[in-house]
Parts: sequence; structure tokens; C-alpha cells
Amino acid sequence: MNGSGGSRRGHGSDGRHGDSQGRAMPSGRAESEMGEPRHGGAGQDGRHALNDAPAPDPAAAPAPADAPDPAPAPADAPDPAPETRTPPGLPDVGLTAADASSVDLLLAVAVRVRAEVDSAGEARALAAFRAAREQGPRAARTRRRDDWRPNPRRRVQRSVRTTLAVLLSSLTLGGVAFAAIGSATRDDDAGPGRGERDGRTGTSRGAPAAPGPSGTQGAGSTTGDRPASARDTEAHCRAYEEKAEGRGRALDATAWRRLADAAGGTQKVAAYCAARLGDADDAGDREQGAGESAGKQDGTVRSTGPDAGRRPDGAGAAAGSATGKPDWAGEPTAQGTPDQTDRQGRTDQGDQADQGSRADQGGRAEQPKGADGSGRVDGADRTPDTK
Amino acid sequence: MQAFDGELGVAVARAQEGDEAAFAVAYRLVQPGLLGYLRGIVGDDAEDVASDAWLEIARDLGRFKGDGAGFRGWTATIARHRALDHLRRQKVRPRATALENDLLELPGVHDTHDQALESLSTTQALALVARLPRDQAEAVLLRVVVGLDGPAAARVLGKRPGAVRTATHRGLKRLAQLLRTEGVTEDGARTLGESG
Repeated sequence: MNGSGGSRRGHGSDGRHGDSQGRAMPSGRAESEMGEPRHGGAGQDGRHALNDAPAPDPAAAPAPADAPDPAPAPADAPDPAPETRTPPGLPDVGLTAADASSVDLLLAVAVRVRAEVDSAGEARALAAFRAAREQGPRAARTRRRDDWRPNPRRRVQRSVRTTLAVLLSSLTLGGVAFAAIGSATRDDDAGPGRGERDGRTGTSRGAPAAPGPSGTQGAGSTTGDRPASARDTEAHCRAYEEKAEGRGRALDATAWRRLADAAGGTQKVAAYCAARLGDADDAGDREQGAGESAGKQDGTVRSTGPDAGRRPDGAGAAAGSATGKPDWAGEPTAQGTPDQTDRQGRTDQGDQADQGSRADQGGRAEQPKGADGSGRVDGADRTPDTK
Repeated sequence: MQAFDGELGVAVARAQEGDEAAFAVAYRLVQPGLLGYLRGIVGDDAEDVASDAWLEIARDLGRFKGDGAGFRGWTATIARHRALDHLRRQKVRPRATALENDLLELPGVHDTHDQALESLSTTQALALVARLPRDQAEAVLLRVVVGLDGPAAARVLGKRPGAVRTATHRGLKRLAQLLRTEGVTEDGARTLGESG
């Protein structure tokens, strides 16, 4: 059967075979040959290659002169057009000239594959088609993997995914904002605006979105640095205030002890904290007025939790983003505290989009700023108090 | 992307209506690429795997939605699944065993580029492709032989487009390298070819 197949090829298709090889790879885009596909038979084995090799050689020698045109195809298949050397679809792969030889090789593969009549395979396929057609037009639903429509569907999917990702990240940051707002402006000497915000932050701290980020903050903060004792003490004071007002978490033992040491006695803690926070808030106001980054740093400075002072980084990221988002992430806060929150909101409005879409980068970018800024703020304004 | 995607799309649409001749046209447009791809994966059993694939293609033709290029990607996916099933059944039969003998016939180094390619048989060429890592071989075959574009090839393979691009690039480079190095064979090989 191989022999007969070879001889059959020797008639017409072999000439075509030779033709296609004569011009071969450079000019012929594989599928454009449209020639007969390789004969599908059970007898395919390595010996088939031997039939291949000798046949094209004698055919190729006389053939090239006869092969100026693209390969003639069966009458019922469309005629191909000669194409350029590099397949049009592969420029994105960035081939060098040397690699084009491999492309040529593969095109040659495809070319030869087409060079034979695949009548048996085609008959089988047609029989399968008829059989499937007989089964009647059942309501075949298009599964996802059957949907190969061009781009619009995929674009929609991608945009949906992107939208979801942006939404999720902004919700996460909003939750962190809730967590951070609570301690961001804790002060019993504060003006009415602040007081309202305290009230709201107290409730917002209980927001379900807060526990996650707060938990991570708290967990991470225990291993934080403690160079700025002034910042620590102030944060401890805030936590103490919260505890005293019955809203915040209980001050843990270490922080409480430190606070007591700084104040000079457990009884003096209340008075000490009142004095400290009064100064701190004034300094914080000035910082906020200075600019958005300062505003974020202020948020950093007033970060939440008993251990927040040791964690300017994470809290800076959280509060920095948090103070930027009180408008639409924390509605109650925004309404009640027009001056402070709005100012922060406005200053940070410009960064909303950035923060939303680059939350991580923004957070990370905030960290060094927060740390440095807090250090600066503390050093400039609070050192005199603690020293 | 390819020259006859328009005709293919029309043929597929008509075949979905029940036009048998249109199905034949679609078969002729698609089968060569599928066969070349399958040869690179399963070697000699490509025709059998292709038959299985066409059974499924004919059966599920009504489910398909898309244009000519999409049809190529869809059929390539089906063919690939059948090929992987086949490989699993065969328990990792080495692809190249039947093909290695033909490597002795590779052209000598002083053959010209075109002559070298001419005297290469399909099987030899695919033997070279078979020596690529599987992911590179598949990427290269899908891109060049089947004629899918980057995103379609990525979808068939189930990988990210960037990974497919890398695999294609590396596969082609390695194939070119194999061509260069394999060209340096004994003259006896060429004698065999000439006398055949």
C-alpha cells in the first residue's frame, strides 16, 4: 500500500509536491498550499519517510523550473497566494534571521503534510458529520470552551475582572480606613469637629471591616521598632483615653506600664495623657495644614491601637489611605466632621485613583514617608515635651 | 490571521446548518494544520488521533460559536485533548522511536539551505520538533503549522500569552540550532539519500 501510495504520488501530486518544495519555504505559507493533505492510512511508519525522501529528489530536480506559480491545488479548494518569508502572525515572537530557518522548516512540515490526499480521513469525517446530523438538531448549548468568538467577549471579561479587583482592593482599604480613623484623631481636648469624629471613630472601630486590617496591624506592631518613645507614649495615651472612655481595646500590660513610667505613676496617667494629647493635636493640625503628605503622616502619627506608635509603617499605609478615603469609604465620618475630614479628603482626592488601583504601592510608598515624616513631626514638635 | 479564515468561517456556518459540502471544505482547510500539530505530539498515530478528533468535532459542531480563526483554535483544542488522552493510554511511548532512524538521512553541511529542507522528509522535520521540550514543540506547532495567533494558542494550551510567546521563541531558536548542528552529518548519509 505504501508502494501504491508512492506511485500515486508520482503522478500528479508528486509533481506538485516537488513544486512546492522547489519554491518551498520562503514563499509558501503552509496553509496556503491547500494541497491534498497527507494520506491517512494505517500503514504509516518510518518507512514512509523513505518513500518521501527519494521521491522528492528526482522530482525536485526537474521541478523547480516548472514551479514559478503557487502550488496548484485541487479544483475544489481555493488557490493560495504566495506569501512572504516570515509568517505574518509571528512578528511578536521576535525572530532573528537565523531562527527564520526553523520557521521555514515548520512551514515545510506543513507543506508536506498537505501534499497528499486524505480521502479516507475526509470520508470518515463526513460520515461522522452525517451521523451527527441524523441525530437531529438537539439543543446543543455552547459551553464556555466552545465560545471562540473574537475579542469583544474577552474584553468584557477582562474589564469585569479588573473592575472586581479594583473594587476589592478599595473595599479592603476602606476597611483599613475604618480601623485607622478611630485612633487617628483621638483627643478629649479637641474641638467639636474632632469630638464628633472621635465619637464616630469609636463606632467605626467596631466595623466588621476593621478587624482584619486592625488585626494585622496589631499583630505586626508587636515586633515594630521603638526608637521614638515620644510617639509611643502618645499612642499609649490615646489608647488609654479610649480605654477610659470605654470604647477602645484594653491597654495591654506592657503599654500600660510604659505609660505609667512616663507619667510618673499610675494615678498621674490621666493628667499626663491630657497634657500630651493637647500638644500633640495642635502639632498635628499644623502638619495637616502643611500638605497632603503631612496630612497622611499625621494620620500615621495618630495611628490606632496601643502598639501603633511602634508601627508607623503599617499604620501609615493604612491611615494614609484611610485619611484619604473617609469621604466615600466612611460616610458617617465625613458627614460629621466637615473641616478636618474634608480637608484631608480634598488633599487626598487627587490620590484616590492612585491609591485605589495601586494600593500596595501606595501603601509601601507611604511607609518611608510616614516613618520619616512621623519622625520629623515628632522630632520637631514633641521632643520638647518629652525631653 | 490566515489566508482562508474568511472562507473557513463561512463554511463552518453553513456546515452548522447541515451543509455537507461545506463541512468538507472546512475539513480540508483545517485538517492539514491539525495533522502537522498532532504529528509533533503523538508522532505516527497522528491520523488516528485526528480521526477521533473529527468525530468529536462533527458531534459538537452545533456548540461552536466563532469565526474561522476561532474554529481553528477550537478544533486544535479538541485535537489536543484527544492527543493527550492517547498519550496517557500509551503510557508515555517515546515519540521519536520510529523516527530516529530517519535522522541518519539528514542532509550534509554543504547542502544549501533550500536543498537541505527539500531533502528533509516531513518525518525528519518532525523528529527535530519532537526533540524540543513539549511545551515549546506545542507552541511552535500551533503558531506556525496550525496558524493560530498568540492569544488563541495560549487558550489552546491553557497558558498565559506571555508564556506561549516565550515558548514559541525558544522553540524556534532551538529548532534553528538543531538544524545547524544536525546539518553536520557524515557524507554517508547523503549517499543514502542520493541512491534512494
